[in-house]
Amino acid sequence: MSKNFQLEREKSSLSSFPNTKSFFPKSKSWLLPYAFLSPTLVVVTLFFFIPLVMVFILSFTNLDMTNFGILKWWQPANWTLDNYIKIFTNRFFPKILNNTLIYVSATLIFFNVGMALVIALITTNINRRVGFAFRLIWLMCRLTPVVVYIMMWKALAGPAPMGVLNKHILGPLGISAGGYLLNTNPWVFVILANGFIGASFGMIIFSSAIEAIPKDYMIASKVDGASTWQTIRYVTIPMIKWPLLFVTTYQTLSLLTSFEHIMLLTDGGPGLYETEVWSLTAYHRAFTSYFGNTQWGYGSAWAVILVIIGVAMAIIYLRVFKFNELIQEPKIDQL
Amino acid sequence: MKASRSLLSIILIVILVMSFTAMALAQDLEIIPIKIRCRAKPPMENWRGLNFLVAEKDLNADLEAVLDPRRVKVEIIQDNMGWGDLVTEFVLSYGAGEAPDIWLTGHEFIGAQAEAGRIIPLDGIIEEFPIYNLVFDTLWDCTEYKGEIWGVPQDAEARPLYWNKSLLKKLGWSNVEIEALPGKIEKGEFTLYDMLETAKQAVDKGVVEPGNGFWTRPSNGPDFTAFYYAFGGETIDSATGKLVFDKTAGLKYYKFFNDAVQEYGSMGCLGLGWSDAWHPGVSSGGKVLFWVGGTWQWAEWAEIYLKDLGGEAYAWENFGFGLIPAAEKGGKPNSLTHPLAYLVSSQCKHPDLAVALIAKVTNYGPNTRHAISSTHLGILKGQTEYKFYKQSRLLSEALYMLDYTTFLPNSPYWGPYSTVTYEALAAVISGDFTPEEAVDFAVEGLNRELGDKVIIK
Amino acid sequence: MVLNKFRLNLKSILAYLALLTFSMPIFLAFLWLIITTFSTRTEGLESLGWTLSNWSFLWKSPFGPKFQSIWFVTLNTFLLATVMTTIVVFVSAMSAYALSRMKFAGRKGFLSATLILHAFPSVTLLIPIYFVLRWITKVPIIGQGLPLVGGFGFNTIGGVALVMVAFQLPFGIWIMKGFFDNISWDMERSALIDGASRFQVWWKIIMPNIKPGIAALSIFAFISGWNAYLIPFTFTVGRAGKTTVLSVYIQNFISESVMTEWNMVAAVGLFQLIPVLIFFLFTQEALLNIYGGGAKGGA
Repeated sequence: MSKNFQLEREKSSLSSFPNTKSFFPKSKSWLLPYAFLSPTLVVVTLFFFIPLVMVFILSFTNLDMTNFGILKWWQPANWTLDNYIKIFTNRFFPKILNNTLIYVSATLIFFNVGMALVIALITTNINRRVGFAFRLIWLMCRLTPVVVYIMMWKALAGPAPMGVLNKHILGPLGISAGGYLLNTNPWVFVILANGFIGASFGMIIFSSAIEAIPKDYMIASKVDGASTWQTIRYVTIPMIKWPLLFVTTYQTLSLLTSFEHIMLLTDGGPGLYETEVWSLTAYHRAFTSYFGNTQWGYGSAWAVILVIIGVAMAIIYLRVFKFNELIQEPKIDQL
Repeated sequence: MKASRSLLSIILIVILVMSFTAMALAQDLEIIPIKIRCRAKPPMENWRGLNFLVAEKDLNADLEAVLDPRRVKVEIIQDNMGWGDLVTEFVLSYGAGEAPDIWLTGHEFIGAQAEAGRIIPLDGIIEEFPIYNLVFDTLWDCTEYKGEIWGVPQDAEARPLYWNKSLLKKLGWSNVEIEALPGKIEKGEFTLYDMLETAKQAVDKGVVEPGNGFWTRPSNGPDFTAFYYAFGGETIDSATGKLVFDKTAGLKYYKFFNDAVQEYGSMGCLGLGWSDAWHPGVSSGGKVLFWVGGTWQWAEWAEIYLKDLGGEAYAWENFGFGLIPAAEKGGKPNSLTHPLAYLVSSQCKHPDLAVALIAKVTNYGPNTRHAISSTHLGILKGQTEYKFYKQSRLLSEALYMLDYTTFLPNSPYWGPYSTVTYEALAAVISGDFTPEEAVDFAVEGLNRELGDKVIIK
Repeated sequence: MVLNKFRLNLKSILAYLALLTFSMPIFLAFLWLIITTFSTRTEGLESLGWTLSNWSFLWKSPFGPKFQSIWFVTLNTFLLATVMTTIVVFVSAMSAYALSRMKFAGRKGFLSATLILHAFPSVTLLIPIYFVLRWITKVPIIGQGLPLVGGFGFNTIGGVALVMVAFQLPFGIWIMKGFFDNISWDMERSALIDGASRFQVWWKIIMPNIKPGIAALSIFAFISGWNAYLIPFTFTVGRAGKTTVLSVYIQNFISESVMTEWNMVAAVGLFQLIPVLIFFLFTQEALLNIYGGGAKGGA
């Protein structure tokens, strides 16, 4: 018996396996998956779970720059609810909340899902190479270094005669007085700048999904005399339901937690908290201030609320869109 | 083969012998690395850090002369990072054990860092370097906290009121009147509201656009406190060391800016970008009549923004400056000085060498180099007589302002105080608050953020 | 049916027009970038004079002789991106394999967790991560003493790379799992029958077959690392220090205090874009297939 096995093994092209003990246990061990997952578990624990616990604790302390290194923030004696009270009685709390809602919903609807869908639909219905090229161009925004990308937007929005939009489009059309567009219409540019990046994610996923729709459906609908719009509405969109839901979920969370672009573009201004969103406030409180106002405890409190909202939304999305149904069983585990 | 192999061995032996000798000699020398972190706007302020390169050689020569086996090797980290980020960086790197030995920063941060134990008091060590006696006495007040000295002043400046002479001429002022303006301000004959009146006339006559009669800086900064002082406000109670907010002065202060916006066609400056709008607006664009700035900006305009228009010559031709006017006739004009100071971190293993290095750069030569290239004011007694200092017309003409100048308080809680009072100001200027509402907002915010660390009068 | 290649009819024309209009800002932006890089001054898209002087930062520091040269900073950025990519690809592939092929307790939870982990705003974790990096700094050798990357603690390239790996992992695992799911089981089954361990199967069989996935993830991870700003900025010292990377270095040119010389900034920006452009030109398929694994929405 064993002799046959030996022969088989030599014949098979996979005969390069020496009979040595491998570092990882053999397949029947229940420990094996965890061994594969171990690096991820280490990293995730170090950089997600431990920090998360710490952030929760910190939000109940008043750790700031003056007592950093002195305050024993891990001792319950030093814990207070002050930070949370400060947040809810902050005069700008409603405005920041409002800003965040506007930002997330507008960018999501108009760009991350809306424009992504539009572009995906158009580029899959025209010449393939041209569609490919356009999707690549949109992807370019996501791949540009953020500092450079924002610099380009600032140049677009610049005051006349340097600003591109003012000089070539708005000026000749007589719409704008030539002022710095980031000061006159900051929200437009915040949404545009973030939207162009966000759209590329959905665009690529939707395009792949649309191209994967079996051609029979499209032919059948054409034969039935459906117009392009009807085809899209009744055939295409229902067939990409899952990618749509996935992108909506993922991008909502992305938008809730993104602030780097807003920080570089307007830094929450112009003026008082004009474009300040929740995540940016958390960063500002914890890391910046002209006169060293860095308050880590207070910033953590803002952050904790954001985490709670984000995680809650993620769980809601998962339930509502029944993602559990999506998760298939693994291919085969045992022989 | 054999010949080259023996040649190789001979070379190796020689190298070994040489390195042993070198090591033996070097045993006696101990190289001490000193890390220096400065913030500087290149290229004008580069001397803040670069002076230490010269100082290094100087100090090593001294050490050699007294047969001290130590030699210093400086590492300079210098860039134009923002002030807030700079402080965060210091705190974070201190926490990781990597604090710089010498840290240059605004004096108002001394309170917070001293409380946290990240910097060391320098009283004893300073006495070993008599050169420090050359520094103006008032400047040492800025680096004092709770009775001890925590830093060495690095430079000083003043924040004058600038005006555009050609725009004044367009308004109808004669040359004589223009030249007399600094004197009138100094005597208290030209007040803040006189200035606003002039600005209004300029707007009405179309000499400047509405909003451009009078500008301040476009974001929060020390300048605004000068106005608060002008209206009689105090910021610190010397007995208890607590911060103070005076509601009466605060009301007048907010009312001034409210009027500036509503009635006098000014303050269209908040929120502008420094380099793309504010600087060009006041200097090369020439569209603002009065503005509050800093003496160091003169160098920036001369070297960068007015480069194509004639540089410094253009500035002397078209801009004038004086103190910030008094609030009422007969009152005292003022300015505000925000000195920077070299601090020594408590992680520094050789504070005596650090202080020695700082002593080397606190001298006529190094300090004047920095003063001239960046138009900051000198900090040493007799510096106005120094040959090279005299060559800067601006520094000579602005030095008198130090007699009238004021300072920010040294309190660890200045940060929140400044932010809250500024937010109220910004809201007044944008029209969201009336002056009364602004005062209430400030008081409420100060109580909330600072609790018992602030006294509301 | 012989279809005209470009199907020019009214609908198509409208479609092309719509596409062009929506994409207009991108065109304008990049056009501005290129024109400005090679001009002395620009007004809008008009150049006021062509020059190569903006590229002088390549051989001469614009801020004074002692200022860090851009080549050193480029090396740092390259190291960061490479270290981070290597770790991300390896760790993602290992974890994704387990999630795709093995049954174990907590599998569903882990999958949902990778989605929820994406909900963690990086900003909230920056402060505690600083603490974690501090602890790592105290570990001998690994903390501060490694050559090139300097270690994995605070103010080291390795440390920044490690943090970035943590944030990229959810994405990487999701992508790799998608690619793994598309491989048929047969090869593995034969190898396992022959007595190979799971690890050997993973390394010798699956990984070579997943090259498109590895390529796509590597490119994305590399670009992420190359373009990073916030995390390197927070965890290193100085904007021109020993561990500065390109995005942070560029901020020296765009700071509030120095007049923004847009032309030189554009040049440095274009400099930073070069590797991205190279990937763009030569690996288009890989880029656009990155999300291919999850295209059908299945997990």
